[in-house]
Amino acid sequence: MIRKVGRQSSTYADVPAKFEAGTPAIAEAIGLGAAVDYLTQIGLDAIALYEHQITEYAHQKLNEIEGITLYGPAPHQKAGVIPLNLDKIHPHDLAGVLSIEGVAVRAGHHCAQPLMQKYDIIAMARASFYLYNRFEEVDKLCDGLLKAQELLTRRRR
Amino acid sequence: MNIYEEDILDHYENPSNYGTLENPDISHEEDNPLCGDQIRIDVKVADGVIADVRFSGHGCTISQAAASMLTEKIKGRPLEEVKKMTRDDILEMLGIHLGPVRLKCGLLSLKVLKAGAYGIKGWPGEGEE
Repeated sequence: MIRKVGRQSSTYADVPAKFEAGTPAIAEAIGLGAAVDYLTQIGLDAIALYEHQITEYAHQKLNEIEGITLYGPAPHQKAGVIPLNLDKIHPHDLAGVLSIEGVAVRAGHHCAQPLMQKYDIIAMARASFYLYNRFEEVDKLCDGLLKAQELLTRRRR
Repeated sequence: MNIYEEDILDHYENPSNYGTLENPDISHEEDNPLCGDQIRIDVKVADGVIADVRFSGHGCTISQAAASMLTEKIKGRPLEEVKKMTRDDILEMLGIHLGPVRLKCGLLSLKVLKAGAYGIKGWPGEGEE
């Protein structure tokens, strides 16, 4: 907020008022309200149930892939977030191939470098699932991982 | 062009000039701590020309393929010319589009080469790349 405005100068109001100018976050508040309505209508219990079902399914399908490591607790104890590695493939390469296949995962140390040290790895790829993911997308992830394996482990040393 | 072009995969699987040199005139190693890529480059210089070069290390496809291609590119060229190489030379050499995350992987070997060639003190810094 301002105290006085001239043609060549202006004087601001005292703190905190000087920082509180502008349009309030009206659109954001309305958006948040709509999101709350949407989630309440589906029901948080139903969302949690679906998330656990798709996570269980993903664990089951992913474990069928040779050379895969899934990190973290058993699927019933975790949210729909699955960190993983494939033997002999850098996670950035996994993410690169998956991206071409239309599957988005995060790769890197996930702002948890001490955890990477505990597992004695450089990085992980991480797939995550939520309400808006379909079971077929788990299959697509698995296909992409197999493709990465085929592409990147026919190799040397 | 996607980053897993056959050319890139070829260099990754069967890298050129992989290994180390005995008594190299230039030897330097660096890593990219965020993704764990590691590259060492050894160079033999004779009459101002790069007579032999080897690289070693490990990491993602892009970092290793770029190192392999770089060693091919610089062998037999005058050191002073090689020291002037820029990131654009590397991107042109790779011939693929790299996003911001993978750019560091692609440029690591040039960084190692230049840091080694200039010596840590004389190196103009990463901004030069």
